[in-house]
Amino acid sequence: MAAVTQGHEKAAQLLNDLQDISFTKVGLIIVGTWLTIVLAHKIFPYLAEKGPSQLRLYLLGAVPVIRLVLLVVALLWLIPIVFNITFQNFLVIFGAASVAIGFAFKDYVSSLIAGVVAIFERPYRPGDWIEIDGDYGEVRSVGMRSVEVCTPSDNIVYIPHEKIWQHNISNANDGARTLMCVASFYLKPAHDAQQVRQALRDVALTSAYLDYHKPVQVMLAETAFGTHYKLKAYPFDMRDQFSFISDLTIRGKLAITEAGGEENSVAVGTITPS
Amino acid sequence: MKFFGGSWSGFEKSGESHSHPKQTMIALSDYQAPTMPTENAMRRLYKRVKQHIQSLRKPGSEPVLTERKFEPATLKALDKLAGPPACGPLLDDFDVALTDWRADPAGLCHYLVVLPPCDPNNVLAAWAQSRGHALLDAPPRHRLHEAQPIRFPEGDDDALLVIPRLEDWFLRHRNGLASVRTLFAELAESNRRCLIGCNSWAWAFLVKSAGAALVLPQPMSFAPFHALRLQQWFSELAAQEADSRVVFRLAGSGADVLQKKDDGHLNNSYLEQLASRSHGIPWVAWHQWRQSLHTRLDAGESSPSATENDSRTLWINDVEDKSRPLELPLPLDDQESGLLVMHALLMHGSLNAAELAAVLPYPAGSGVLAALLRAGFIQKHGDLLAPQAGAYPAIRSALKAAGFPLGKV
Repeated sequence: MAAVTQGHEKAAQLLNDLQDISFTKVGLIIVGTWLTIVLAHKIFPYLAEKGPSQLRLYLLGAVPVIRLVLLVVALLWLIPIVFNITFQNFLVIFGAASVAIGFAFKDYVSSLIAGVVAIFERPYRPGDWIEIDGDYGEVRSVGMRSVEVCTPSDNIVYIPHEKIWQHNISNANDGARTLMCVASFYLKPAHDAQQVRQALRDVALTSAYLDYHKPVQVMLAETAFGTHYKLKAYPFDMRDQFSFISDLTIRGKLAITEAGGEENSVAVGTITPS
Repeated sequence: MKFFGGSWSGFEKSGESHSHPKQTMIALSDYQAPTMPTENAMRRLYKRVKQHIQSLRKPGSEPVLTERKFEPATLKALDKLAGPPACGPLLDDFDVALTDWRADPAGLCHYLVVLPPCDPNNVLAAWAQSRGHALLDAPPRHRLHEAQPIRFPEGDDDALLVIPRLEDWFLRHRNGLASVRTLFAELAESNRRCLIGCNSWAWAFLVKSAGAALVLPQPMSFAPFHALRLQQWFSELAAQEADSRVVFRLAGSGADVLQKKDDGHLNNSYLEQLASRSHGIPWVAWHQWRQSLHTRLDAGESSPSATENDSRTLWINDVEDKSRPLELPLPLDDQESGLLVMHALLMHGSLNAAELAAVLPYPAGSGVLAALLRAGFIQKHGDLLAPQAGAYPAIRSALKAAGFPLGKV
């Protein structure tokens, strides 16, 4: 009986007395934090789209950091209001939480922790173009549990952060404003490769989307499908990557014809080039 | 060669009438556009904010002249008080810089002057003609794809040859680099003294696409036009034709913008703002200056003491050109098309519709061109489209915000 009373007393000591807890204050902190996070989610992407493109990635990248800081501050503010913080109580809460997490929310918490790691290690940031487990697209937002990716087909894919534990993450721009674009051409082998190479180089150099500060390269290799030319260049804004590749492809085809090359065609669906 | 307004007669007067100190050329990499005075001095910013708040509180602090009481000055009046050419004392700078260069036997054979775009007077060609130097013009644009051998005009190695507009030697097209590459190959072989002009946007492109920096490794530019230089130039322009001193007053405060204090500094910051907004480019400042000049609608109306002798007073509405929007007047879907058009025009100086279509990834709709013309971002002379000098700061800002590669000047 004495042990039960002692246990009740300990449990009572874990939480502050109800009359001592200011529920108005708790409510205001929760609502204020939620409101600020929502505002940050709306305002920063808006400014990123409307403002100078140099600031776009910084503004987008600030959102998850701001959210994390706000959540930590709110949590640190709330805990002393609700709990009676002593070392003993801390151990009790920590132990109980560990058991609950271990059994019920293992995957969820794994994603949450991976989300915090992702904010600091930055394998991806809002605005980056990434590929995880076969899904390629632009990072729209980095949430607590998952990252929201918009594919070129305008599909939204939610990828849990815990993927970073097991999968490779391919980041095409890694925080930069541009990324490498590649236009591929397969030619029948009988042609003047030097001339075609120069013609394709001029195609990239005269593109309206070209970033002057990055290199232009033309690489070629003999493959089972013909001579494979890869025209590699960077647009000045990664959002133009598909327009840029289309521009290179359209003008590249004309340049190849003028340079005496002939494109190779493979029946669709018969063989997939690697 | 293409000329958008202005006359060549003004070039001959250069060097005789200008009394201000001549400036030498500077390396292109050293070009720093004048900054807004507020960016340099936080104290000045604080003072202004304070003054503004005080003026809000002060009764009767309304503008000396409201917008409804003045109208833009007539072209005739503008030509009298701020006549062409728009290059100001720049020609004297050429004389000084080139005298030093030609006197230096160890100097490079080729001297490259990188100029800002929107040059309405083709300043280097005009200078070369007025000084009697040989000119080498570009082939017509439809023949730029042919790598024809280039014949330099007759003359020994010391006879100066001027190639005024490198931007006329190429087209941003997959076949449009042949002529400029041939020219660079000729220049690399030649020991003849050559003065070459190129607009800064074309230069940025040629460095990337044709290795121009290898042939012309020391691009030079003129020193930016700061407020005091503008004051000297505008004062001389106004004094050349007028029989008595013309006063240029701000409509808001009535202050004389060309007046100096005893210590030699300007009385107000209008010209500093103009220098900053024009990026230190004389013809941009000149256009914005002309656009801002107004005359009173009713000179007989009773006026404050600041407007005494009203017939000799011109009013400046604002350094901000309210008639031109800072953002492109295009729907969001057409913004990219408009920006691509303006970038191409800045790079090439001017293009006709067919040439413009050839250098763009996809044809710009006629609606886009019409909207840009209507808003005063571009102008049309004959079949040629060119960017407006007065709109250059707004165009540059829009292209910079969108991430386009920019010219240094």
